[in-house]
Amino acid sequence: MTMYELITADAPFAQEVIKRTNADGSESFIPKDPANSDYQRYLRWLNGEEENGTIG
Amino acid sequence: MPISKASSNAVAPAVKGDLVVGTTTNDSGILGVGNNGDTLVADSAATTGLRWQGNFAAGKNKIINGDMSVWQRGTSFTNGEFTSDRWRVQFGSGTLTTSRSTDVPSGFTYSSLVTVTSAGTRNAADYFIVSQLIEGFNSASLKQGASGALPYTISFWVKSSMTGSFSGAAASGDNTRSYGFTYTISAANTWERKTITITGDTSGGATAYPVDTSTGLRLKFDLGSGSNYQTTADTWAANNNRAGVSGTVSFAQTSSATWQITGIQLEAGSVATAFQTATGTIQGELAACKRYYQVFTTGGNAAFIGQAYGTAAAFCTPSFQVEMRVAPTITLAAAGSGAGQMSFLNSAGGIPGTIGTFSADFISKFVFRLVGQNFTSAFVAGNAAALWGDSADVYRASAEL
Repeated sequence: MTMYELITADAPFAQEVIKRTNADGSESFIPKDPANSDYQRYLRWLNGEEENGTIG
Repeated sequence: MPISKASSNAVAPAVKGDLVVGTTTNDSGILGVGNNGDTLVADSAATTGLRWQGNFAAGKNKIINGDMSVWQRGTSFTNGEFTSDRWRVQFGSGTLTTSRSTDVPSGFTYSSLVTVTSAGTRNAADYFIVSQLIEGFNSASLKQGASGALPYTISFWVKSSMTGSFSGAAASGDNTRSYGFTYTISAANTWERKTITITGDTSGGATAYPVDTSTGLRLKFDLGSGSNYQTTADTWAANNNRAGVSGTVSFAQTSSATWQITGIQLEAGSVATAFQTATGTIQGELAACKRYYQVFTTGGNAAFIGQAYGTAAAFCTPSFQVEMRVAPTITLAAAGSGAGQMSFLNSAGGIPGTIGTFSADFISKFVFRLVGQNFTSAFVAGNAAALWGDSADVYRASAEL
């Protein structure tokens, strides 16, 4: 199951990103870029909509 | 000005499109009509001094990786998502396995083979779709969405264990307009080339067909979707998320059935010309794919030099190999010293006793910051720190549509 988490690294000038834990256990980091398809899916998930987006 | 006398050997064209051309002084011959879309080129070695050549022009094919030559994610997939570069396989029931195949028509190296490993159902909401989304900047020259929209032609090589009517659809970038098409596979397990011409869509405007980095056009092949994903054949219709038409072969519902494809081209005009990749070279095609997805592999060595900002933390800033479409999603290798893992090296150039955690931020189209934290007494603040990776991928960056 995919999990989302807002994180900020403990580093100089850190920037908030979305950490996604994928079904296989790997971790992805999604920038808050409205043109990023994964960020669009995250926003749909946040709004309780179908996360996977459009088919085809 | 004197006029040369006609040669007694002069010839006349036999069919439409034949050319009468000079072959020597006061003599002429026939250059037979070429194939649709061929270009006439000079050739001193030919009797007529001319010959027909398949039309090769970089950029004519709007499909990237149409010859299935690039597989950055792997070569076999059982989950529904991206498979060969730029190609996505989606299914809502059963299991489709997609793999790279060397079974190809003449002139190609790879095809994409879809096998039904677990038969699905064909209820209204079931979908089985192979698709490529075309970036708006790439589809702009087709001028879709308003008067003056150009027709375009899709051509591809296909082979299946099943015969009969298959379908697909062209759809607007926003997936609200679709044009269904059908093609017939006449003989089982035999490569056949199909060509389909799509009428230009004069409706939808820039909302349906944006000219920017978002999706400008969609090409879909349907493998047995239900009615929720079916549209009308041979005309444009306003509807959402459609991929094929009714009455087609129930491929995904047939266990062990196979369907494979290569040589996919989408070009302006009503004629299918000879296949060419979008860029014309493997170098160009790989770079085009990397605009949407790229992998960085260290080869089992130090990969990037960064800086420690404490005894327990360091960062480095990997640059992407090609400018990406948008700021991508970064998937990192797991922290560790084993197969497929990565770590910052300590101040002595070795693997630290305690390897911390990794994250990514400041992600742009060009570069990102990779941060390592929670190491134990590994670094000297202010000194350089090298990122080491096993031979597997350190990061994967996705800016897919």
